[in-house]
Amino acid sequence: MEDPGDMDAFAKLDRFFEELRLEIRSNPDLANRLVKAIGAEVVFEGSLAAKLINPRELAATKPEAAFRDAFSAMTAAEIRSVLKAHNLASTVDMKGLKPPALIDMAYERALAKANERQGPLGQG
Amino acid sequence: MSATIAAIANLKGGVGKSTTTVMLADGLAYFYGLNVLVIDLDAQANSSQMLLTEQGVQAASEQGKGAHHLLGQFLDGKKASAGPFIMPNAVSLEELRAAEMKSERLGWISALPAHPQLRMDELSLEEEWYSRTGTPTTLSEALARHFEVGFADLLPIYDVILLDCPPHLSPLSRAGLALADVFVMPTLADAVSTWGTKQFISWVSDNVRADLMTRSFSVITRFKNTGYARQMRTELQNVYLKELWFGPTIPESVQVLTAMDRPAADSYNTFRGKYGKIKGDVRRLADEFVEFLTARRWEMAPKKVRD
Repeated sequence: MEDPGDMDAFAKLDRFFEELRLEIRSNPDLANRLVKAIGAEVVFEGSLAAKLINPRELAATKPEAAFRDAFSAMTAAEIRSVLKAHNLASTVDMKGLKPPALIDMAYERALAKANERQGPLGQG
Repeated sequence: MSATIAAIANLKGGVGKSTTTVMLADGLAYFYGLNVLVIDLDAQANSSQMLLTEQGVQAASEQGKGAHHLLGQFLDGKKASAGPFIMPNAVSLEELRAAEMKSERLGWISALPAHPQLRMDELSLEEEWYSRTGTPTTLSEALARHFEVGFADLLPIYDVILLDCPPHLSPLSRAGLALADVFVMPTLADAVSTWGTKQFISWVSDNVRADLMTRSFSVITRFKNTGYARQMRTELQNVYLKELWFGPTIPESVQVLTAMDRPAADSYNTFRGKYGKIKGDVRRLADEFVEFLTARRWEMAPKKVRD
């Protein structure tokens, strides 16, 4: 096995980027953060979107149609898990709701919370 | 039974006054079926937001509800009456709402919410009062009399009135402290908070209640289970504040923050769903506060209505 101390600069960089590439492949959250850091627009879908999406950020920065698109490919269980993970609804609130109603609730509450947090009380 | 007024207070900010207020309100209403009124005298409106959400606080203000209207009566020279400014439904627990729907009221929470306007109105009042040779003490005494009249009609209706006081000694805060039957003092297990709590005890004992120590219930909040925090807690309970009645220690946790962030004004959650891993802490807080009030104020302990 090659001693890393014997590798030239390019080989070391290749090794570094290979490790980074492998980590990005196995860690979608890191991939999402890196993509955001370089200012790129990437759409994650389905279960991956359910893990990565921040509904408040999405509602505050994108048009309503983009918000709804992001949720449209998710199952009811995935939408529920997003709402629960971001404290936008309790199990009681979501009882008996189908995906269209869950998406309505997600948009209304995410936008309201984002507005609340953007300004002083009463100006949200 | 006439309502017991408990002021949740400490000179220091960030010690968990509002969180303790909401936990006590939920715990007393849920486990003991008590009728609780939360009066938020802190213009930051934190406990009001925790109970009603920010939109709910704003909506309440637009409906003519809120503590600033009670102050407005004072500014206008009108007789105080707090009842019209109360939001009768500040419940977020599904079990309480469900019982109410079946006309089986087993615990209820109402709120006289704060709004940032409260601080503006208090400042206007201070400007005017001091320009007429009044002093902070005479103003806080006059406000206390105003509140006493304003709260008189509430005493037969509620079992416990929780006054969430701001972290300083403004005229409003002093008026609230003057009306309290008992004091709940949240504190942190660190040196700075210990100092702040002792200052508060000293000031209130000298100026408001000479028997403060026998009327006080202390809660260590936001507890991080480190060697330093355990050492400070032991010193607080056994040395510096050993005369105080200590309730349970509430841990610092994400679950506490989540429980205090109501998703929407029309959102309800079960007690277990709202408090998750800290539900036992909230139950102990309610149990020990009831034990404290039974020893200090009440003829007999209320029966538990839920476990």
